[in-house]
Order: sequence, then structure tokens, then C-alpha cells
Amino acid sequence: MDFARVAFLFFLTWVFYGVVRSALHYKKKRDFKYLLAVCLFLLLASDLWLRAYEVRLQAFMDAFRVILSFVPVGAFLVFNYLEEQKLKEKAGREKVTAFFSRYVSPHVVKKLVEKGRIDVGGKRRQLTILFTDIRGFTTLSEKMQPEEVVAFLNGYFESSTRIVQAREGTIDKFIGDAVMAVYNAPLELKDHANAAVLSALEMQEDFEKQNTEFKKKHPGDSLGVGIGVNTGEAVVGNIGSKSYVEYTCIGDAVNTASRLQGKAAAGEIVVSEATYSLLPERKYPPARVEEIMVKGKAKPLKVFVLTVKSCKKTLAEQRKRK
Amino acid sequence: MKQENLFWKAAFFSETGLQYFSENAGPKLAAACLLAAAVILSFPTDFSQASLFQAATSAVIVLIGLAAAASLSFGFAKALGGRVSFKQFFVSAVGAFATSLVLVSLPLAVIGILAFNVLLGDPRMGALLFSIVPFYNYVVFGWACEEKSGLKHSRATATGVFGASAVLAVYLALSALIA
Repeated sequence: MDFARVAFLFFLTWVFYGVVRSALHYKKKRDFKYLLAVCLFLLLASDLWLRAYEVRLQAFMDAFRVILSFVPVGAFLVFNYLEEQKLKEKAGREKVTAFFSRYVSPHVVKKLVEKGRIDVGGKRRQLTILFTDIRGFTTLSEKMQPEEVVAFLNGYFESSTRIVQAREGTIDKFIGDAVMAVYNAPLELKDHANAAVLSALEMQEDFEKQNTEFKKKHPGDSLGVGIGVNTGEAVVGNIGSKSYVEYTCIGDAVNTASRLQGKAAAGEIVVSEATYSLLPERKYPPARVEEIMVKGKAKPLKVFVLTVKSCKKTLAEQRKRK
Repeated sequence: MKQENLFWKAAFFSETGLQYFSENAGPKLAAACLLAAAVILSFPTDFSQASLFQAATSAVIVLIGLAAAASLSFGFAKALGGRVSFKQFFVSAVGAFATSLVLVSLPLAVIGILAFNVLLGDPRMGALLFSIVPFYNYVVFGWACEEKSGLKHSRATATGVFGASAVLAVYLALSALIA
């Protein structure tokens, strides 16, 4: 093997190394100069390689040398384009993840990302909406230190969020000391009514523990949560301005859920007939059934008032499952 | 995903793949990688002139040569100020090289033989394909040396180029012996 050939092989190896090194740098830094370096190294490598083997493939080379020289560059550019598309797709997925992780559990975010397409432009669909409110909190908060109010609310919101997200619900917003949660959006949830009512019961049960702690610090004072649950059609999607957008829902079903919450006493869950009819039979025995008048409705609404006590059996079953 | 499943990525310039070799560096893994490389590289391409003695000699040369190339590259990295353990450097370089042989060279060789020699009856294109595949192996070896050199910028690249050249030297020695 003559010296010239050995030297040529070494040189070719270095050029190939240059191709790979620049390509890896470009992949990491996305800097145009590395892209240019890849193309130049590739062109040089192809030319050298083809020259080296032209004796073996003389006729084939004569016809296609120029084209062949550019084939690797073309292939690289196509590969790079595909890679760019992949990165764009990944960025899109990250955007969705970042946006929805405010509202839903990481598990639901993962499902949404896997699903690929999410309707966020505003779509009418059946939802179950849950509203909670701490009874007497505003009055009591006047007696408390601001830091104490914040700490209590943070604890309450934390546990509410955990409960809602565990049942694949979406935290829509916190309004003062109230929580608004939605089920069946953005991810479809077959038993959304059941999930919402179970969440409500778990929230009541959980709040009892917080209340016990609260009573220790504030003897004589007591807190309770009133919850309203309703099912109906509403428009759900990204609503807002260009600079501020929120994933939320609007419609009569939402207003009704809010009004039902207003009728719930501390420790009660007022469930509309629309929601109750979707629940599994005999699983949620109501403490009482009544007809109430709510603002904006001409006729009285039939509601089912549930409490932790009336649904003790179902809650125990759920605990066992966990 | 478990890291154990990702070692094959080393053949495609993935740091995750290289990490596997680095984390599991040991005499057994080093021996397995060296043996795999020796068996593949000493496998005769021309069966009409093949002999067991020649294949065994080639395998020994590859074993020694590859170990020497990795050791020399380690020495080079050390001389440039690299802070890296010999075990990790050696196993990473040899492991990446062996993986590229198993996952890239071997399948391409099979495809080349089937497509050009057997189906088209024209071995020239196969020869052209084979002529470029070893460069991929050199570059993988060099890249692994660079990544595991514990150096940065031009010194790291110099180690990579040295590694690729060292392994090319092993190939040339092997070709000279076979010729």
C-alpha cells in the first residue's frame, strides 16, 4: 500500500469526522454555521470518495459524478428538514403541556399530548360543573392574620386540586375562596357526572380534617363547604384576549351549578337532576330531595342533597379501591 | 425507559448510548465488545481464499490493535489534560465501535451482498458501499473517544480525530496482513 493512498485514507477519515462533528454540533446548537460546515464537509467527502473509487466504477461515475457528489448534501438537508419538523412538533407538545398543566393532572396532560389534537377554539359539549364555597370564610378571615388566611386557602386549594385532578377533572379557576372545576373537558370522560360527585364527596370529607385543625386554632369558630354540581351543555375552550387567555367554559349550565352551590349549606352537596340521572343507581342515596327556586329560572329545580353521611357506603368503597 | 435498553444508540452517536458503556465499564464488557469486533472484522469476505488460520490471526490482530488504539487514544487524551478513568474511556470507545459494527456494518454487509452480488449479479456497487462503511466505524470510535476524553473544544476534537485515525491504522494493518 503506497504512502499516497494511506495519506488519502487518513484525510478522508478526518473529513468524515468533520461531517459528523459538525452535524452533532448543529443538532445541539442549531447554529447555521454548523449546517454550512456539514454541507461543505459532505461535499468534500463525497467528492474525495468518488474520486478514490472512480477507477472501479469509471462509466458509472462519468455519467453521475456531479449528481452523486450532491446526493449526500441533499440527503442531509432532507434529514435536517425532517428533524426541524420533529422539533416544531415537540415544541407544540411542550406548549400544550405547559398550558394545560395549570388546569389538569400530569396524567391528563400526557393523554392530551398523546391525543395530538385538542379543540381549544370553543366547542359546545356536555359538561359537569362543580362549584365550592367556604361558608362564613369571609367573616372569619377578618379576624385572622392575612398570612393565616393565605396559608389556610393554599392548603384548601391544594387538596381540592389534588382531588379534582385525581378524578381527571379540570380546575377551571379559583374565585376568592371558591373553586370551579369542570369534568369532560378538555379530555373526554365517560362518567363525568360520577367523577364530579365523587370529587365533591371527597372534598367534603377532606375539608372535615382541615376544619378540625382550624377549630384547634380558633375555638368556637367552625367552617364548612357548600358544593353545587350540575350537568349540561356549555361552550368550552380558550376564551380571552390575545394577551390573556383562559381555558374555561361558559353557558347556562355553569350559571346553574353556581346557583346550586349558593343553595348548599355547609357540608352539603346540591346535585341537579341532570347530574343525578347520570349517576349509578343507588350509589348516592340523598339526604333529602327537594325543589328549589334559583335565580334566572322560571320553574323550580328538583335537586338531590348529598352529604358524606348519606353516601358513607360509596365513600368507603372508593377508599377500598384506592 | 430503562437505560439498559439504550446502549445500541451508541452506534448512532447518542450520548445516552455511550453512557451505558461508561456506567457499566468493566473487564467483562470490554472483553465482550473486543471479541464481537474481532469476530466481525476477521470474518472472511472472500470465501475462496479463506482459511481458519488466517481468520484467527486477523482476530488476534484486531483484538490487540483495537485495544492498542483505545489505549493510545486514552494516552493522547491524558496528554492533552483530559480527566477520565481508563476503564470508562476504553469500554466506551470499544463498546461504541463494536455496536456500530454489529448494528451498521453487519446489516449493510448482508444487504450489500444480497442486493448487489446475489440479486443484481454486479458486485461493483456492493464494493462501493463496503468502501464507505468502515469510515462510519472509525468516526464512531473517534466520537466516543472525544466524548469520553473529559476535554472540551479543540482538544476534545483532536482526541476524536486521533481515535478515528488510530482505528484506521488498525484496519490498514489488518489489510496489509491479509494482502
